[in-house]
Amino acid sequence: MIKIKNATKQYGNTTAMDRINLEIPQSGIYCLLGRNGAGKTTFMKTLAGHIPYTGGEITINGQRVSPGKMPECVNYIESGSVQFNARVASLIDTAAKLQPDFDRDFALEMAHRFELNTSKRFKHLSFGMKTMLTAIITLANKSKVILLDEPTLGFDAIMRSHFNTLLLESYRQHPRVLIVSTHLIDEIAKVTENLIIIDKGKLLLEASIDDIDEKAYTLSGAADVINPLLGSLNCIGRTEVGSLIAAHIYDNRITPPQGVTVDRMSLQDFFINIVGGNSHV
Amino acid sequence: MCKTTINLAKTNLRHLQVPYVLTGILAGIIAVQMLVFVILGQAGMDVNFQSLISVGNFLWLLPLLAAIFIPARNFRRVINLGGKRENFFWGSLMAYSVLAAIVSLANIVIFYAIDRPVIRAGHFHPFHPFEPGAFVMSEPGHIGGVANLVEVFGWAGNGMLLAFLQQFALLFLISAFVHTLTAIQVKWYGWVADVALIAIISVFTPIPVLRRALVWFFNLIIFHDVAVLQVAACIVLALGIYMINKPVLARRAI
Repeated sequence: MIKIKNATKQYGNTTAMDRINLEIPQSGIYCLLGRNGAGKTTFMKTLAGHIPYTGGEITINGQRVSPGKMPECVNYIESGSVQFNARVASLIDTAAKLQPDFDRDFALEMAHRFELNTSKRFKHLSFGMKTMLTAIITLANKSKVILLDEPTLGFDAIMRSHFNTLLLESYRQHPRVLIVSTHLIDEIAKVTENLIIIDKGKLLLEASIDDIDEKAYTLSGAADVINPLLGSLNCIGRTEVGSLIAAHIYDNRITPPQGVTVDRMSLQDFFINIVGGNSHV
Repeated sequence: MCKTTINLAKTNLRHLQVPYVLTGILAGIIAVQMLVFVILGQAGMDVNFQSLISVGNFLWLLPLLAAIFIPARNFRRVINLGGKRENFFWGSLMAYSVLAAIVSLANIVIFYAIDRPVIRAGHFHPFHPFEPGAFVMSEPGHIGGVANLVEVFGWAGNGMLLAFLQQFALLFLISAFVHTLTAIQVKWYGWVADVALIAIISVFTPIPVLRRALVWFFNLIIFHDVAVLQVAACIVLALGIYMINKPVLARRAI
């Protein structure tokens, strides 16, 4: 469905996307992770055809993506998007008129379920409600690819839970590629099936959550027992306290020797380690 | 024309509150001013040396402001609602056609129904019946009149239909030009265009040969004797200028 070959985007001397190769062959909810400035927004905007890439090629359903030819099957929205200051119901109606594949009933049902007052004007909504409305409008589109850039920004815990429900409901009704960028890793893990990690414009990892659950773990024990094991394992980070060491591994599981404990690594810890934020002694 | 494009044109027209309000306020002020003059004239008070600018002229503000607001404000909002650039391109052009037609029609109605028969003939020019082309701004010692661009540009003499078309074509050209100029302001070539425009006006005006070219150009798009030629020139030029938006829009970030 989506093929990205050596996609590069440069802003002057800054490389926002550095030869990214990625293939998304089938429907699913994909979580795009990366630190601030890692290139997530650039990646999404490029994929949607909102900005041109400077090298490589991106195709969606066989059609080459470019700003002059935004793929009809892609819908991108960023958090804090400005909208016309119209009533919620009117904005949903307008979106339905501008998008041939818009599911108006779904949008109204979701607005009702998440207690969005449809007679309120956009500027009178709270920040969270504005974001929720934008997410609903985007997800009500039946496009084959939906890109949501930090859609839960400004949401409280309950709103985030609502959003996850919305995401799952949307996917259940219209299975397609949903790519969601966020910093709230463990929360999105409840609904996402695949993880894409970008760092400094480069693709660091593309894997399923199940795969990460299986391969990401922490070995803890005495340094003299752990260190010899690390030679054959992909160690993504380590923490040493005195003679004890906690090594964060992303590799096949091993049978631990005596004195070594194996713990599950949270997705957040996995992310922190894999982007190189916790490799200290 | 695809339905989505028509819907986009409607969305653009619906979300032009600031241009509508500004145009309404200005036209309202002028209408009230006119009304006061008419009442004073009917009451037999001395309104000599007074000349008015027609309300209809202020309606020109609407397509002009729309051509600024649509690319500068509506574009991003339309895209955020899932609109496509291609539809925005044609939908905006359609919106300008509608606005130019409405404003042109409204001004023609104002000119033929109010400016000419009521205000000038009835209240400002009671002793000198209207003669086509006899437009007089307020000359000392004479009774003033009401200035409407339909007459100032010499379109009134071509009849109602041609005057409507001539005005429509010029408004359409102005809208396309202002839209394009606004859309390119975010890019370096927008600034180059601004400088080029200022240079054209300041350099062309003092040099006789270039001035003649400038006069020829404005004569073609406004004052040309052959109305059909003026209409055709405006529409072709408008479409030509508007086409610049195609690559600009394609590269425009949201």
